[in-house]
Amino acid sequence: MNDKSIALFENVVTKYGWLLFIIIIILVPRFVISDYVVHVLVLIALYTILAESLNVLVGFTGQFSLGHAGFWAVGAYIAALLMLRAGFSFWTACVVSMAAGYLAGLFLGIPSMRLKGDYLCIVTLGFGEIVRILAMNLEVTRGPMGLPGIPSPEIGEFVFDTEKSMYYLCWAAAFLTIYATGRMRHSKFGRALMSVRDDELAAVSLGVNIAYYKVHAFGIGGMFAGLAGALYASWTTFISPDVFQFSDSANIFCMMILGGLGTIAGPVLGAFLLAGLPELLRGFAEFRLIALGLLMIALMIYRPGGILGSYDTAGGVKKIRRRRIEREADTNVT
Amino acid sequence: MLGLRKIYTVLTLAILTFVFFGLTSSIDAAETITLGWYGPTSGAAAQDGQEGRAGAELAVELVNASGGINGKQLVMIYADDKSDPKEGANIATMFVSNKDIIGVVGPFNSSVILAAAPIFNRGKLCDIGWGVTSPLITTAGEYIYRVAPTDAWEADFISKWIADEGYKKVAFLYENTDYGVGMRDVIRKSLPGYGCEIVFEEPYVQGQTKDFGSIIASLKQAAPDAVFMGAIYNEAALLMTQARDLGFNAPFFGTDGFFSAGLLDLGGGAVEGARCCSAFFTETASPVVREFIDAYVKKFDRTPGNWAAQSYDGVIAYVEALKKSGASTREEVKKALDALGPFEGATGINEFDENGDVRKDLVKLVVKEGKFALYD
Amino acid sequence: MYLLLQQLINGLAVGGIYALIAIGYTMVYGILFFVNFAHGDIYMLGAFCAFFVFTFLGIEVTGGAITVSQFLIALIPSMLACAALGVVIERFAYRPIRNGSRLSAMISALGASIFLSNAATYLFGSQTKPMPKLFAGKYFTVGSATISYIQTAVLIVSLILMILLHIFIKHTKLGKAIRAVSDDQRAAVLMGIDMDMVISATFAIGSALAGAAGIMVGVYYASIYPTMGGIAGIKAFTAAILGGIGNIPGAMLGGILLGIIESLGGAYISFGYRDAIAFVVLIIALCAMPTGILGKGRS
Repeated sequence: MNDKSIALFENVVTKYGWLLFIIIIILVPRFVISDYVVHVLVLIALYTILAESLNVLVGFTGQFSLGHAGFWAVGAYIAALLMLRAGFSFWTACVVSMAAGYLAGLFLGIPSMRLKGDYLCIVTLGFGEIVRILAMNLEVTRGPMGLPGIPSPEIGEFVFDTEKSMYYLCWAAAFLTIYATGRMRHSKFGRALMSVRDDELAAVSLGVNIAYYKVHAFGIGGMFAGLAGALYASWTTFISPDVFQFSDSANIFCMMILGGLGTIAGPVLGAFLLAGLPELLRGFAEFRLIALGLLMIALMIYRPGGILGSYDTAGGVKKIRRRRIEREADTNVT
Repeated sequence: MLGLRKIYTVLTLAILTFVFFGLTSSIDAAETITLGWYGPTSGAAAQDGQEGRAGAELAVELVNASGGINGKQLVMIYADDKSDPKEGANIATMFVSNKDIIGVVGPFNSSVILAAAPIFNRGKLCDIGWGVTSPLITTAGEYIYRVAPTDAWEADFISKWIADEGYKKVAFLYENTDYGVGMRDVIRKSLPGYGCEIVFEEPYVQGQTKDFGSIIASLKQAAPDAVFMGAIYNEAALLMTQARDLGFNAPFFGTDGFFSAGLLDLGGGAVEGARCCSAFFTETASPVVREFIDAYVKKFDRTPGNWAAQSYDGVIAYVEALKKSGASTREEVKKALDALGPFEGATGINEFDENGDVRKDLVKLVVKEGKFALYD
Repeated sequence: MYLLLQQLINGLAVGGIYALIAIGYTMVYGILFFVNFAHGDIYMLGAFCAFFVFTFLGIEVTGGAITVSQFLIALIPSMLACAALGVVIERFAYRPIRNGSRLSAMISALGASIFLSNAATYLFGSQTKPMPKLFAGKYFTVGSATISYIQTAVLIVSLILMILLHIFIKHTKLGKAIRAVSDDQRAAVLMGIDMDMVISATFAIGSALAGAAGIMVGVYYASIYPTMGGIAGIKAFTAAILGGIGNIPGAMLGGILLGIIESLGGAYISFGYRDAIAFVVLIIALCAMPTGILGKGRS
């Protein structure tokens, strides 16, 4: 290939990247016979939603959260219980799950008004664990026995009970999330979130209601994670507290960081890499987490913005930090 | 925007890799019979998973050494589920998608098989769980079998034993997992049924709770005649050690979760007198069991535990069913398993009932002079 | 009354261990303002070091018993090994990004923790390993409550180490340097204090104490496993926050308080919720008094 064709290729990819990506996603099931690959791609779609929604919190707003699996669990359990116990259809249950995720987000957002950084990190981690421990101990969730037999989504006669039908449904939801967060980034709301991230003091002086935006960032993050939860529950038809561990929160977090914090395509790439590659490298399962640990350290040393990180996020933070360091140094609390 | 270009190139490449990966699957299946095996060979339950895998490896080796199944060699594809239900669903789809595989053995964790079960049922592929004991699995679908006895059955067995020994006031401690909770639900009915009273009942978090001091304090106050633990050996050994340190001396009962060299290693003198049950026991007269134990010791240079034996029997169930019927498709394998009848494996005589649960005899064991011995 | 007293005693023993781990968090936080997530894993490696020392000395680890002097012999190399490990981790995972964003430091710490616990799982196996016991089966009674020798020993050793640390911080030159850096980095550097050296020393001391906690937990419960650092680390961090992060007596107080709250909460609510209780306490504590009980006031 000569330089010209490479340039042409890159140009096309840059301009029509998302379109190309959507087309490939639509076409994949046509050419792939193996349900296994489709299955893994569904999982990647769900992780995309989760990483993308966490990005609203961490990438846009600068609020650390290590409890995203907690929102995921809230969504999954609410949807499953509504369908199993109250006979709701998937679609209604899904909407309620999203609302529940949103409310859970607002709830967790309240401490975030006062806390940030490592403190917030630990509180969100605690939130994730509390959700799991509740699911483990409550009667209604059947504790560690889990909830089997969750029904599949239906439209009229059509039932989404195959891998391929769920594939389209989950990727549709993933693109909805990508689109929503992409639009949000350039909206007034998104810019307000980013101003909170970059410099709270400046944001306040420009009239941004910091508490409102922080809490709502949590709400929106929780809402999309709730969507992923509802989809997950009716896709696998069985949920138990084991599904939503701290390691999953950490994994989602890494997807977002690895791909590129604050970017839109980054979390998608991260989901592909961290949910897809381990499947390809099944033989090396023992080394997977050892490598992940080293990768995280190396990434922070050599490329703190992630693979796709344009330095407008990481570098920005870095520059601001110099000014902020004394202010922050004494206490981690606003 | 250098970044953007890279993004899409990488994304596209990632997807293409997947597609190609999905297109390539092995075809050479005529001369061999392929089975799948899965279990947690890494992660928190890695020790049990690796032991189970060793049992399955031994079964494959012995079967192939003795001429295979009706002249065909047995090939086993292994997968690691890390005790994660999400992985269980991934592996189930992987096995169902691989048309060579006509039967699956695994997994260890009940939550993993419950996530995988719908996929196996849809793919009409049989799965024999080797470590799964939750009563829920009985109704998990017609393609789901297991060689591990259900908790319901073991808990009932122990309840009766406790009552026979004349203990009236029983305390129940259980790990907050499907294993412990499944047992709790059974003994709440079974113990009173045998005339015992449950005077104390407490869960603890498996894998995290190490300090049982406060549970023991409450336990002592309840003053039970005997303690029944829905626990695996790690916590059981810890709890017994700490109980002895704090001067609590009532006898302890457990199910096959106790039956592991780990209980003796971790508990030392404190587990002396602990009683449990198991389908597998090394000191037995059966030649089939002896053969398994000798071969295992020869291959791995250590004595097999319960899970090695259960996993071994999972493979043997297929071997026996295929030998008898000559089945070569998934549907035929299912019919062959249903028609199998009793077969002898490393855990004695096994037989599947109409729900795919196993029926086999349990023996009563007690820790005597630092070793498991038959209780009499 | 029996139950309350007994639970208080249990809480004290567990709290002493939390306090020892919490000191490391607090010291690092006091200087670098970030949470060293790998701290819990250092605690785990301390326990494993002791395990290897015992094996090396030919002590029966399975169901064996050790004397106090053997315990002390294992304690010292384990603490030294952990101190060295702490310094190495700081050098390779944290120093290169010391001027980076806080997020970077946090992720790097998380990465170090994931690496250590999984490397340990790979090297040592995931199974629980036996440790020899100290004072096996010995206990005495106070009123109706039972106190085992080992519980008392854990508390005493924790207290001795904490007192030693206190003397070190208050009265030695290096201790003063650590305090100076913690109070005002810039001024400390201007006074000619070697930042790198102080940070390394901080990591070494914190890690050595975590290692000591690891070996004590090992002989207390007579068992160790590679993932033991995770939940203990989080609990200890909770303790550090509860007492006021950056404050060493605060960490001690927070640890003991958390131990007692957990024991009582477990006994009077349900042991299934024991870890949840710790987190609820943490969240309430953070929201109600973010600087902790003995924390520095806001500037």
